[in-house]
Amino acid sequence: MNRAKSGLSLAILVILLFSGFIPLGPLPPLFGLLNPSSGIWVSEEPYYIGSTNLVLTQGANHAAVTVFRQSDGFIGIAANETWAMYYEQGYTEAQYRLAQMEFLLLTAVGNLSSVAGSQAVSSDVFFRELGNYRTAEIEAANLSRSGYTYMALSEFVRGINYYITSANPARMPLIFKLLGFTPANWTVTDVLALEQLFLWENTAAQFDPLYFTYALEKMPEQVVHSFYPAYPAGIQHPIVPVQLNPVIYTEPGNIRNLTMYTPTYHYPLNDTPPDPSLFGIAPNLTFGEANHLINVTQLVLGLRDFGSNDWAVRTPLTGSSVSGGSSSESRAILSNDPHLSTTVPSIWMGFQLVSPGENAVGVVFPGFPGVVLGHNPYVAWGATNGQIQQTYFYAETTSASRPGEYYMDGSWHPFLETNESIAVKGAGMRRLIVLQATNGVVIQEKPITITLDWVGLRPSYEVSFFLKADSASSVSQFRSLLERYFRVAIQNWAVADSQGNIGIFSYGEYPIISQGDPRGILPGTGAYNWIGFVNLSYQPFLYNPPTGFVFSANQITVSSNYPYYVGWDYESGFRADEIFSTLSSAAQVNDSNMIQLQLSIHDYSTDVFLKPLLAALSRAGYASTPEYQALSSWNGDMYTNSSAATIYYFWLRNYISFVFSPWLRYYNITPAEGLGSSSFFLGADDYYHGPLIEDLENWTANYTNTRWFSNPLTGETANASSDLVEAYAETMSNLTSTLGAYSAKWDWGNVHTRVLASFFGIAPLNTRPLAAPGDGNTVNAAYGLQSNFGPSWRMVVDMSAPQNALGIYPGGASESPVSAYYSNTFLVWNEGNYYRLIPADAPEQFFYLYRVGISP
Amino acid sequence: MIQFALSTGLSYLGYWYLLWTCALALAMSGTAKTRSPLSGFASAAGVVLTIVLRAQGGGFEQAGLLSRIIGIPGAQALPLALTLAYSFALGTTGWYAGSALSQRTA
Repeated sequence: MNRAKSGLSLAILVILLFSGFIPLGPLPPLFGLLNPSSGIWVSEEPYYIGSTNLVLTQGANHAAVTVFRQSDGFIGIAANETWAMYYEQGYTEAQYRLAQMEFLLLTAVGNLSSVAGSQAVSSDVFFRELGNYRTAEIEAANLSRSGYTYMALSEFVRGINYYITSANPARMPLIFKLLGFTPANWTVTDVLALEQLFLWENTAAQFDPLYFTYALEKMPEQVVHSFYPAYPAGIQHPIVPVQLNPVIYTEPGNIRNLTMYTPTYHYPLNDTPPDPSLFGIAPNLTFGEANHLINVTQLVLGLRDFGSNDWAVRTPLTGSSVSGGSSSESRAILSNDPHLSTTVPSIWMGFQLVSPGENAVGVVFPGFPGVVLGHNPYVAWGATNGQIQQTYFYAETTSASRPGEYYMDGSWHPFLETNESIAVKGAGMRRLIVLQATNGVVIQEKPITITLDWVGLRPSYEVSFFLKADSASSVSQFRSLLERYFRVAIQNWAVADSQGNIGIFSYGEYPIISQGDPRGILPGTGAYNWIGFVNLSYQPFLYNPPTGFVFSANQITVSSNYPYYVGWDYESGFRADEIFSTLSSAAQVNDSNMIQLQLSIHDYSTDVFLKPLLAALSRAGYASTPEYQALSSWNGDMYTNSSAATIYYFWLRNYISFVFSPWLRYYNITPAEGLGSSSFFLGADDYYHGPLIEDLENWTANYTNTRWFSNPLTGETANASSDLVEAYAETMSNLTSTLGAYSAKWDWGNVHTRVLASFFGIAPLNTRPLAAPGDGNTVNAAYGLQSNFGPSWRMVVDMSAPQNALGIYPGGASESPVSAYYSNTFLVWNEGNYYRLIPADAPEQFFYLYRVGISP
Repeated sequence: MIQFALSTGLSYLGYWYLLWTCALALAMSGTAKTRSPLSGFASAAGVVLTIVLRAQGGGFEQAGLLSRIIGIPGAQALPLALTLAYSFALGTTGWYAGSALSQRTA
C-alpha cells in the first residue's frame, strides 16, 4: 500500500514538475512566468521623479553626474565629463526602455523571429538582405577610435551593458518574461545597425516603384499622365521655390532626359509580379493568441515618418533682412512636430544632456545616443521627411546557363554572395544566401531577379551629425555638419539660431540616372545605374530668405523647373498650404501663435472643396436639409463637436473613391497589386497623401468637365458637380445607417479618436482612446478614425529665450505598462498643452550655458 | 509553521518549484505531525506572502495584464489561482510522498 502511495505521489509530482517546466504554446514555462520572486508578480524597474547625484568611475577617471527624472517624460543628465554623460544616457535608456531597445535591435539586425517565431521571418529576411548589420560593421570598423563619435557610442554602449549585467533579472520587462527572452550585451555595431533601421524606415518612397510598375504597365500613357503627374497637380508651395533660391535651378540636371510616364522595363505581369507587401514586413505579421497579438508590423511601422511639420520664423517678419545676412534686432522661432506612430512606450525618449560645452534638450530614439530633435542655447532644429526618392529598383538579366551571375555593361558578373543564418523560434535555423549586384541587393530572385538600390547600402555617419549637432552654435555650423555627414533618409531640416538666423536644408544623396523612368523598375543593363549624386551646391536649401520664414510639411521640395528628378510622391500639400497661409499673413509671431498654428485643426482642403460641394448640393435640392445647413455654416475646422466635420471627412473619402475606383478597376488594378492599400490606388491615406487627392483638387477647381469624372465601367458620363453630389448621397446613406438619423451622434469626436497603441502591437497595452480634433490634412494631424499616428513630438523654441522652450511627446518615460509614467502625458498632449523643457526648478547644472557661473 | 517559513524563504529566493522538497523532507523527518493538505496550505501561504512582498509597485497589475494579453477573464485572479494551485499541489504532493516514503522506510 505504501509502495503504491509513494509511487502515485511521486508520479503526480513528476507530472506537476513537468507541466511547470515546459512552454505552453507561445508562453514560457509556468514556473518561470508565475515565479513569485521573478515572474509576472515583479514589475519592471520603477520610474521615480527627482534628482540623484552620483560619481561614475572608469579606471582613473571620475565624473560627477546628476540625473534629474521629470514627470514629463524627460530625464536630465548633467556630467562634468562628456564620456559620463553618454554612459549615463545608455544606462538610463536601458533602465526604462530596454524591451523597446531590444526589439528595435532584433528588427534591425534581422533576428526578430528568434523571439517572435516564424511570422517575423519575412522581416528578418528583408533586413538581412538590406544588410543593416553588414553596413554597420563597416561603419564601426571605419570609425576613428580616438574620435568623438566612437567615444560617445562606446560609452553609451557601456552604460547599456552595465544596466543589463547589473539589473535584477526579476525587474526585466514583462514582454521578456512572456517571451522567455534574455538580453545580451550591446556593441557599437549594434547601435549603428539600429541607425540603419531608422534610416530605412525614414527613407521616403521605399517600394513605390514596385507598386507604380502596375500603373505604368496597365494604364495608357495619357492616363498615367493625368492620374500620376510627375509634378503634383494641386496648389503647391514648394519648400525651396525658384524665386527664393534661383541658383540651385541653374544646372542642366537630368529630368529632361527621363521618361516619366512609360515603363523603361516591361515586367511580365503574368510571371508572378513582385509583391511589395512581402518585403520587409508582412501585413499580418503577428504573434500570440487570436485577438491578443504581439504585432510585429506595428513595431516596425512605429519608426516610420508619415508626415511632419517644421518651420522657422525670424521676426519682425517682413523686410527683416537681406538674404544671407543676420541682424542683431531679429529673433528666430523654431517649431517642429514630426508625425510618427504615437505609441506606448513612445518612439521617443526625452533627454536634457549637459556636459562641458554642451547643453542640449530634445528627443531621441531609444537605443540611440544624444538628442535627435531639439535645441541647445544657440540653435534649435526640427525635421520633416524630405520625401526624396532614395530607392531604385532594377530587373537584372540572368540566365539559367550562367547561374550566380548577372549581365551588365556587356559582360557577365558574379553576384556577391553572403551566407546568413536566422534562428527562428520553434522552427530551427533558416539559411539564406544574400546576393548583391552592382546596383543593389537582390530582393527577389524568381521569376525576374529584382535588385533594390538604396543610398543607405553604403556606410554613412548620420550618427556623427546627430551627436555634433547637439552642440552646434549657429545655423551655419549646423548646416556644415549636415553637409559633412547627412546622406540617407533626407530630411527638411528647419533651423533657427540665437542670432536670429533661420534656414531649411534638404541635404543628402540625391541619386542621378541619365535615362529611363525612375518611377518604375529599371533595366539592370548598366545604362540606368546611378551615375552620381546631385552636387551639394544645387541641393535645395534656404538661408534667411526675404520672406522671413522657411517651412515644410512633406510637400514638394522644389518648383517644377528644378532640373533634377528628386521624387514625386508627396503629401497632399494642405498642411503646407495652411502653414504658408498663416505665416505669410502674420504680422508678428511669438510662442503662443506658433503653438496655435501647431495645434491648428483647420482642414485646408475645405477651402478647395467645400464651396463647389455646397453649390452642387444646393443645385441638387439639398439646401434645406440640416446636414447641408451644418456644412454651409461650418468654417472647416475639425472640432470634436462638429457634425459637419464628420460629414465632410466621409464625403471627401467617398469623393476620391467615387471618381477613381471605377478607373482603377477598369484598368484591372487588383487588391494584390495595392488597390485599397497603396496611396496610388486608393489606400487609406489617399485623402491626405499622394497624387490622387491633388488631381481631384485640380480637376474640381479647374477642370470640372474632365472625362475622369465619368465612369468607364458603366459608360455613364459625369462631371465634378454630379460626382460631388453622388459622393454626398452615399455619405448620407452610410452615416445614417451607422450612426442613425442626423444628431449629435454625428459629432466628429464621437467617431474620431486618438490612441497610443502598444509599441509591441499588444492591444491590451494600448491606452484608452480619447476624442480628438483634426484629421489627416490638418497641421495638428490625426490620421485615420482611431488615430495612432500624428505629432509624436511637439516643440516650439523662441531662440531669444531658449531656456523657456516648450515641448511635449505623448506617452511617458517608462515602458512598464503598470508605471504611472507609462502614458501620463497622453491626455496633456491631446488637450494641446506643452511642458517647459527645462523646468524652472531643475538643478542649476541644467542651466549651464544659459546662466553665467554654472558648471555642468 | 516550518513549512510556511520554508515556503516563504524558497519562493522569495526564486525556488518556489522546490516547495515539494521541503514538504517531503519535513514529512520524512517526522518532526511535524500533520496532514498533507495542511502542508499544501502552508506552502501556498508562504507563496502569497512572497507575492505580497515582491509585487509592490505593480506586480498585481502586471498579472492582470498577463490575463488580458493571453485573453483570459478575471484580471489577476487566474494567474493568482494558478500560482496558488501549483504551490498547494507541490506542498501537498511533497508531503504525501514524504509520508509514504517515511512509512515505507519504517
